[in-house]
Amino acid sequence: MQPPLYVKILTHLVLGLASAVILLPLLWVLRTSFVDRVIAYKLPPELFFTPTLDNYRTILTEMEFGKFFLNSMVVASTSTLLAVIIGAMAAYAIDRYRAGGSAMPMIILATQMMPPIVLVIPFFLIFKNIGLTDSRLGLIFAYLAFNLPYVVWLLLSFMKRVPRELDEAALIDGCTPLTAFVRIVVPAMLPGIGAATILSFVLCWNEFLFALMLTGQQTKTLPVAVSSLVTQQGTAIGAVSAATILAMLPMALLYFAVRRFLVAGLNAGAVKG
Amino acid sequence: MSRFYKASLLATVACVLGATSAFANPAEVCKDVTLNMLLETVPDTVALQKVAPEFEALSGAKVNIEAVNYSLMHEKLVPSLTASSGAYDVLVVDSYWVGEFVTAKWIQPLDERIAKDGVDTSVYFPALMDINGKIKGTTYMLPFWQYAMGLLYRKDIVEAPEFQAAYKTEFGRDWRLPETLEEYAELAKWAGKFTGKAGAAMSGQRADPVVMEATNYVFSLGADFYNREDWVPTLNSPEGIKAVTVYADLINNAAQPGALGANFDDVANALKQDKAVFAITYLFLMPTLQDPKESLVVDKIGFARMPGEDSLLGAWGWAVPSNASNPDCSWEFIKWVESKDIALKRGIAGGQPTQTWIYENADFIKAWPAMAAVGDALAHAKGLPVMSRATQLVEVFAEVMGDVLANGTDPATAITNAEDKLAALTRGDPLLK
Amino acid sequence: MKSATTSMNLRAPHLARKGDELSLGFYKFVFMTPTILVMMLVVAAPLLYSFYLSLHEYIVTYGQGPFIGLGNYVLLMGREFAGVSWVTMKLTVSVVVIEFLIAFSLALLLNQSWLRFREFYLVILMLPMLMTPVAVALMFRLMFNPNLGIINWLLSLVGIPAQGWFGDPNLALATVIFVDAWTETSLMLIMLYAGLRSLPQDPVEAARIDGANAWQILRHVTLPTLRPVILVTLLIRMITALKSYDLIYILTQGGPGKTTETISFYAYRLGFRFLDIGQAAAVSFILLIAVVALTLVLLRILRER
Repeated sequence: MQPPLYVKILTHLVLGLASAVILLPLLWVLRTSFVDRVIAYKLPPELFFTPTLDNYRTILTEMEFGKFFLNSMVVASTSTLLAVIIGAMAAYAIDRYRAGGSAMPMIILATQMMPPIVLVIPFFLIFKNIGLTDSRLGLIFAYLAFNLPYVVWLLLSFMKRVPRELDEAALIDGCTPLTAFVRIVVPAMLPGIGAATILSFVLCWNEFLFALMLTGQQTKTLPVAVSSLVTQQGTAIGAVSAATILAMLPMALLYFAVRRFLVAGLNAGAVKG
Repeated sequence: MSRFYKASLLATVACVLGATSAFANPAEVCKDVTLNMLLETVPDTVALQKVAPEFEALSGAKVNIEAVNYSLMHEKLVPSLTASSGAYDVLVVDSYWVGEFVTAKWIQPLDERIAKDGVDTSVYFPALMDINGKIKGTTYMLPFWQYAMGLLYRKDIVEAPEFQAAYKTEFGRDWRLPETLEEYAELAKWAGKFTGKAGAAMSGQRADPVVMEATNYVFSLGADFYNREDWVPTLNSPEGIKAVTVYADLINNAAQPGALGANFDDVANALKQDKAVFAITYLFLMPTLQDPKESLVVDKIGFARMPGEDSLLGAWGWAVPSNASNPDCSWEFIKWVESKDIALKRGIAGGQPTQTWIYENADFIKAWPAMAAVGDALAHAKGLPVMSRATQLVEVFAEVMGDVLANGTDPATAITNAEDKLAALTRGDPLLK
Repeated sequence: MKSATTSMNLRAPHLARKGDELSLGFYKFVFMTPTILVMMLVVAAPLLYSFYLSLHEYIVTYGQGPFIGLGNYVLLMGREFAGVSWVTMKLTVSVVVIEFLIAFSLALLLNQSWLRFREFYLVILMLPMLMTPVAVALMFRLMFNPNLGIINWLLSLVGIPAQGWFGDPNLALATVIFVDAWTETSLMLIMLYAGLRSLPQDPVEAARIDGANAWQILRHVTLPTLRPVILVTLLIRMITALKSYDLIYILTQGGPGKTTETISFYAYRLGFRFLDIGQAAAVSFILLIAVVALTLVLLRILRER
């Protein structure tokens, strides 16, 4: 069904405007990543300048940002994978079997309402005792503390809308709850799983305080590395920009990987009436 | 066990060598040890990273330097220092953390080691030893960096004939660098109007930036936060109130726009981009102001000591944490890094040396001519009071300044309101007894 | 229409019908154990420990002091805490409402079946969430720099005088809200968009055939079915907004004065600057209680309408 022309134009206008608000600062970041600091701060801005790759060279060779990318990547993806698997199972049990009673979802969420600042010191002391500081494994576990509850919650909201009849039918047909879960429920909530994956990955990828406290030189993640570019003697704004641009790449890849789920829609689960 | 073994080995070695050599062999205590240390991402750290392999070759230890943003260092250090075995083996301690670290017993006294190895602490500027060395008669640190502050100014502008002529008409005297805070304030306001730039680049952002800058005003007028004998708060004096008043006046009438949200980086950038004439800030900005990739004012910046009585002195010191896994090797590293040869190398690479003789070294002065003025600045500088809760003093003074600058509270009232908090900070402090 | 509350039945009828109570217990166990285990280890333990700390006098410099009951909580009650609570409320309400309205409108527009260039818009609108907040904050600090930033320069082209932005007591909070909205709206957008995509299309079609217009469909079909997703999106955003301190940390440090100091940043200052762990923990538990209460209210409102 096609709407009137003015609706179309208006829609594109709004979306275009929103995109511009996002894109313009980003283009500015991109430009800053190719200039030295004299030009970065110069006003009126110089439109014609000789681009330099110095910023990229600095962060990649002198500062080993490649290593920090890898750390971020390993930590965020492992933690997300664990959270989504464990979380989907919990969401299923909570919604279908009322596991943990009616208070369970609230309890899970309530744990997230603490400012991390207070948790981080006990965390450090506990991790220090069991030797998990300065390791990627430690950070992966730590991140479960806050991405798992969100994942459970988000998936619960999607689970509620997967009709019960679907998995009940499967059970009657002789599936065990586990196979019903894997074959019927999971495909039916793929958009939710996509959204949960992104949510969890973004939370881990951008997390700063725990990464700062629980990692060391070899294990630190990107946000911590970026923050090191701010010093008492000046902020290396070009290097920050270059790091920002590079840090977006893996995230963009992830987005394209889960995009299919996001747009899959419920029809994938063959729901009729 | 192994620490005991190594310690006794060290003792044996020292005995055998006796008077012939005061230095133990680093290889004896450092073999296969990893020394973790946390430093700030500044040029001096880069310089250190460059020379660190020399120590590794000498001692067999592995030096693992973790470099982070300044304000994150304290956050990372505190949990590590409270743990039974720490993450770091060598610490660098900012001058206003000193009291806290000593009171909490996080760093080890070094006197025995200094005496045994015959380390000469008289090579350091006495002002630095006072804030980042000896605390209540016990030596805990060797000074690492000095963060002297003073007046950075545009040489090319103030030396121009038309500027000096206009100056004479305005003030009725020949051009001179300001000698008092009041004179500086009048000059900065006028120079701003005359040049169309900001008279002063200022950093009014909360906590560190505003406090480190405004404390210069306080010390310049001879005021202080406490009477350093009986630890009664003294900021509520005519001089203290005046210092805050002058600072607020300059923020409103001479500073670059938005100075209230500016930090040190913004001050440096205002200078670099030719937007300001004066700034009272850190001398360590010199190397970046001299970098043509960053700065439009290369060779145009001069440095003079803070007008008036004193400026604020900041510094860093090397220390061995109490929970270091291998304190003997940590000490070997500190001894090595502060040895003459290495200290000079780090200075030439853009560091901020703490040993007096380096400032007379021809190679060093050739590399950093402006640093020749450091001696004068250090002679008229004092640190924040060495007290267990100096970090909190910074926060409280920042609240006072914020109250005056953002809410327009009258300085005398703002200071009076903070008196209880200031008094509470010294209560029960073992360092002040 | 199946509402959120139907799934709150106390029984799992299909299993009861199969008479397989043992396996019900078994599968509950299998599905829940990993989550429970993780929550006990990495959530409950630190949480209880910090509650314990909040009942003690504990300034790190001086070591852990005596048990003082609710002393830390009592000490906090005052003008300062009222001030940061007020700022927190202004900030949280603004960002949640503004970001939700923007994200939901954009998600609805993106969900139009006839829309062309959908992928293009989606990718662009997704970009901010790919950037670390630390970097975003640094970039905006540069762009909003009153002296050297591009924004004041652009405004000067159209004759608007230079603004102080983060350094202006009247503008600082609004500028922080803008930066927050720029960064955080994407995540809300993607959750709402995923919600819309997973809506069954049949009721919409049915309503359309019955002659409902777009507004009626939104009001009576889309909104009720989407309610669980909207609810969880709002909740997650509200909680992350209440907890976040990294933007404030880099943009303003709570200044000028205390105009942008939130409870989280206050807790951070108490903990890491004042090294008063007892009070920092107490602040956090007050926040915790407030948020739980708020959440319950929000749940009730949204569920029962």
